[in-house]
Amino acid sequence: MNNYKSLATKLSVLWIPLLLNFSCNKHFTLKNTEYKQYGMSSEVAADSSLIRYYTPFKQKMESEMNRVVGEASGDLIKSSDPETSLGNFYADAILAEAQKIEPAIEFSFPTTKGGIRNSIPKGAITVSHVFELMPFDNEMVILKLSGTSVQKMIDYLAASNGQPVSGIRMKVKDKKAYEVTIGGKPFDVSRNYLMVTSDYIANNGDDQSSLANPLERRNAGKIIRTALLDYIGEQTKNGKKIIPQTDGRIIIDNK
Amino acid sequence: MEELLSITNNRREFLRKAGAAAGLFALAGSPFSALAGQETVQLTILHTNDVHSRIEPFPMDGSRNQGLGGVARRSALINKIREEQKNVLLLDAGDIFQGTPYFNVFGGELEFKLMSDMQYDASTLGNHDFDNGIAGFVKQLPHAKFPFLVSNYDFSNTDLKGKTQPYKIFKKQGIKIGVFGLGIELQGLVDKKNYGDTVYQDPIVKGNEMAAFLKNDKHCDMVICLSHLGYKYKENKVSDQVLAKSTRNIDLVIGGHTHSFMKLPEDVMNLDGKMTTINQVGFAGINLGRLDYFFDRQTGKRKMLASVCPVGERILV
Repeated sequence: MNNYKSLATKLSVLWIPLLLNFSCNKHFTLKNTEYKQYGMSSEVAADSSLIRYYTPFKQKMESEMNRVVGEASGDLIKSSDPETSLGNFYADAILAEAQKIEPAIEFSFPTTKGGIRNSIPKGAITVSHVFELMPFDNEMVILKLSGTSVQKMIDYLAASNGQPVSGIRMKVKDKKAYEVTIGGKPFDVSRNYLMVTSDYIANNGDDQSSLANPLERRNAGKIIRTALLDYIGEQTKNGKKIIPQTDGRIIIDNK
Repeated sequence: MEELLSITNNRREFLRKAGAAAGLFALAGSPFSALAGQETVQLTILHTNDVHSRIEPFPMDGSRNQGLGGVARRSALINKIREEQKNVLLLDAGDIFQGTPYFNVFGGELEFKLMSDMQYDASTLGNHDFDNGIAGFVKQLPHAKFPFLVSNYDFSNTDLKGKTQPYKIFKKQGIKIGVFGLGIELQGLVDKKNYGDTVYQDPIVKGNEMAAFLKNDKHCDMVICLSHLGYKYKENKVSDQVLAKSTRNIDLVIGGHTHSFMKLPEDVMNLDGKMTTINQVGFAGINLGRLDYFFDRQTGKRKMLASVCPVGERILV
């Protein structure tokens, strides 16, 4: 049956199971079966009537995707650095949008560095840029955390060489955080904090469990991408550009 | 083109052999012959899963799947197969929605319209088909000219009540094919606000009930399950493999969810010691699966026929 194998590698095989007694078959007996798999490559002719059919949708979709929502005054960059201009923009935007829904929110940790899927170049920011930055439909989630839980999150931020955050500042030495402030005040482990993240992070996504066991959890009712678009739109309305900046919110002390 | 040619050649070879066999039957086939009334009926099952709003081929951006997929190619191929084959069933195993901005902008309208244009016969629901909530799915339903089959979601307390079917029976040249659907557990996978009061029921229990009903009560010659459970898991979780070995009367499981690129369908021994076949063709419409079943129509007592190739010699790649 070596023939079989070579055919199989070409995704074109006779696949013939042994079916002796096709059960409860009143009129038909299965004789044999055959299997094929067609790869949809450019070698396959296209049905032009379908292309004609979806072209107006494509044009409408592209005009929506190409809609300019704002402007970046410089490249918003992601990297493995503790703090990046793109990560800061992302976290600041989500904090600002979440505070419109719940003003008592003090900080945001809306994504991991790995969750930021693309960068935003200098110039016009389109809907498409934001889709590429955040293609997933994750939702903003508001958590009430005990001081102990926040400490766990701070430990994770420090141990993972920093993550996109807003409203929280810290220095890190030997993967341990110190001089931590939240909302401009020293972190107080004895009190509770309200914060915003994504359902993905809250559900222990990206192999972290820093936000497990919140005291309370509720959905903000808005997906992250929409919040990013809203934030950029509002900046634009107010005549502001998105300015790439790092402000020392996470400093790794290597001395 | 090599792959396509090999398919064509292989097919030609098969048809040549089948033709030769048919010729022999024809020679012997007088009305008084012992073989009178015997006739082979071919059923062609075409299937996709997890197409995820991939209307156009993947963009040429250097990524792994660049240039692959696309509804226009699938449609042309399906049309060609329909010209050649009398009895075609075109099925999808769910996760039609989500994956390109087409979904974000049009909410699934285009996906349903194009599938209707390709004359899909049935689909089941995947977890991502809940991404715009029950309301979002219901809103797009008028664009789908094919039924959604699912028998382990109880939609009684939702707006989907009465808008899906547990099963559908198709008749092709006298062959009765019973098709039903099974969905994956939504809790933990889909936001509760999106699936609302949908009640998930044990797919093994429901699958067994449905398959027995279709085989025994409805006398289907073949029972197909459209499953969005997933092909297999490392952890102890219900999958197509678990379903196949824990049930009776299911002949074929067209699967989805795990985006498994199976090179060959897999046969699993079911509770009756019979074979349940599982197949899944990756995702995004990169591949179209095709299973041809050849049935002998018999007027007299059923004969048992062994197939050409012994199971033990099949190579699972």
